[in-house]
Amino acid sequence: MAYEDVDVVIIGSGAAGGMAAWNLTRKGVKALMLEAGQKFERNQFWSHVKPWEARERRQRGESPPDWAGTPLRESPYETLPGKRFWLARVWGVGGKTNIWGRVSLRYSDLNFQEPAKDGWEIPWPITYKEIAPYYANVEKKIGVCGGGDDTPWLPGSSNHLPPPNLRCGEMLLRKAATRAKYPVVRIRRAVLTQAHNGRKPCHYCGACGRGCDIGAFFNSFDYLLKDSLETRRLELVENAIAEEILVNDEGLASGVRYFDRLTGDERTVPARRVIVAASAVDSTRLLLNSKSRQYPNGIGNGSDVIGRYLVEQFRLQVQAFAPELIGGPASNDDGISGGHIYIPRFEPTDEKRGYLRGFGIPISGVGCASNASFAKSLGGFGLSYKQAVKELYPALVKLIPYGEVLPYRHNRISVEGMPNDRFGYPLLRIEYAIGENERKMVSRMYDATEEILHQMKAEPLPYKHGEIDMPGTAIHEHGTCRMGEDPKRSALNRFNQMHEVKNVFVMDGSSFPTATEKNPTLTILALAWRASDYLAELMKRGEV
Amino acid sequence: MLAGHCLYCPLEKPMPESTRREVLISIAARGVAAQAFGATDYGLKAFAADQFRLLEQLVDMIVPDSDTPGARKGGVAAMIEKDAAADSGLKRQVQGALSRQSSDGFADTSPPARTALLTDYMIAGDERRHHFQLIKDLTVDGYFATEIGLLQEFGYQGNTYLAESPAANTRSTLDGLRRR
Repeated sequence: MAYEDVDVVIIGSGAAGGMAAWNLTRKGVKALMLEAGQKFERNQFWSHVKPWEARERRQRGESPPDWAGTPLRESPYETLPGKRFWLARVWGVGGKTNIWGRVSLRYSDLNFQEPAKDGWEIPWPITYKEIAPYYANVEKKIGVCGGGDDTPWLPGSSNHLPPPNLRCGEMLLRKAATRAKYPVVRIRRAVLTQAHNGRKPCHYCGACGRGCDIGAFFNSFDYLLKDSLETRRLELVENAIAEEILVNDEGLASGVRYFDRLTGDERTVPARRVIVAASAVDSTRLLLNSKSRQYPNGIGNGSDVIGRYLVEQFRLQVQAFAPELIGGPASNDDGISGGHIYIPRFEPTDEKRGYLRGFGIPISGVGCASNASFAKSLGGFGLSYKQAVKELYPALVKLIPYGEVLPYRHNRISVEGMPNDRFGYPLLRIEYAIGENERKMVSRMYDATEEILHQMKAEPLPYKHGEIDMPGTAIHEHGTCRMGEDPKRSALNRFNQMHEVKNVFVMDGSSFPTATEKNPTLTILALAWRASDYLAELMKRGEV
Repeated sequence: MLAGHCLYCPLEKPMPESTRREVLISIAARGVAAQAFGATDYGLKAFAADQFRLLEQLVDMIVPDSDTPGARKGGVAAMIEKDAAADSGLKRQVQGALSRQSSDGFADTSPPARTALLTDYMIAGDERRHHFQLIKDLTVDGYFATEIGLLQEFGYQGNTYLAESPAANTRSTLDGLRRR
């Protein structure tokens, strides 16, 4: 495709970029996609390599796809002393959708309306009613399994594929949580529990985190980009590290400068419109590094909100043993990998409790796994220890509450004063810490977890009440290029279009004003579908 | 593994490499009598011979032989050695732990005295506990990633092709337990 023919340049090929490419190319739009990494080939996945075989293979010099290595080598990041942040990125076609957790939860109107109600920072500029049809479209397109359940905080859906059977530990956990008056629903995951849209169903090998060898869960390449490429209206450029969006005299985006990761060559592609979808953190770095006379603070950042208000759920983990299952036989508990049930958020903000927003409780690690990490936390050694580990192995359950973090101006991604990468563009720094609000919520999260385990009469492994996982480990970064009605307090309008630069759209998780307590990918896909519909409409009318 | 390690972490710690010893032991575990291989049999790269012998004693005490082979026969000490040879940080840590135990004369005492010493380490309030925990963590990670640990000891059935996700059979599990 000749550069002059390109209607839209899309930066990033993950959930948001893939959705934009698929939706636009099917409408006749010609797109060029820049992807910083390269394609991960399915036949290289170690989906069916047993732990002991993996060791042997490595000895022979073989290795599985290096999912996260490229960004760490090309674009390392800095955190401040005492404020560690664990950033996981995947550079490669499909991005993190190659190995994502696949949890697909709709945000509710309670989520969307909450900031407006409690007054903390800016409200979402959209309602559930506006996004609901897009949720439905996405669910039908990608295939999401789940139940017919519906709670105030977790809107139901009629599009779900059948949910997987529960594991023994989940049956017991559900009984206990229900007794403790917590709602329990079937997990909603983008896993094909039956053939869907011509794709093969899951074979329950439990190795989703190593990439699916048959593509039975949504990933951007198989489900979106393949079709886009077949239209011949998409050109995908691999190993293209986008470093700067260029602007013309009118302050509109006019091109994208990128570097070939393998040769180091600098290239510039002219752009009539740009879609930024490189994941929250890398999109933000690109925007901040796109400085010009018109935008000395980074493109579209006259409001100084880009980079700020970084939000990512905080979480904790408590492991315990279902007493009924201790000493039982081992079973195949792989399922669709990850929990088959979920405890959705159950409480509204109640200032009497002293904190805003809330949390949900994902369940995981139930039953027989391919390791015994839990045994490190068990006391003892020797024969009795070995026997105890064996008896406890089938009885493990793990609760991992995810709490919403309020957007704080000082939690941010910045590039000032950072050394340059090898192409001469500043690397990024992450400053992030939870606040008083979240510390109060942690206490409630532990209380709820303990209440459920108490009902179950389950003995937990040692843990410290109040301790949380390292920030970043939910891998749900949001907020650093947020949408809103007020251009002074937000960078994007309600259709992910920059307030200041009308031909730039930012479609990934950075556009979310809040993180909520939920996993974001379903909402990223829905918003990208909606935003690209809007862009196509503007293009048709000649308005952008 | 980090405390906050994500379930779907793309940064899984690389599995340590296999060794000749592991292969041999794996064969042994399938019915051929296990042999005791001297440290020099596979060329130590990270530890001295006496350190390695101590490491073997430790992993053997943490997960001993029962009706299934334990960590020593599972080749876990050799795995740790191999990993330490490729990771200078790990090597330093393990050597630190071993030299402490070595200076306590651990290897030369009687088996009951060793058990007493290891118990002391486990409950100590100082770095001895840290050292014990390091070796224990490595033993658990290593042993329960072998065929012996996962298949023979646990009866692991996962990572296979199924037509559907098995239904929870809590009732039969409970009945089975009651009958025991």
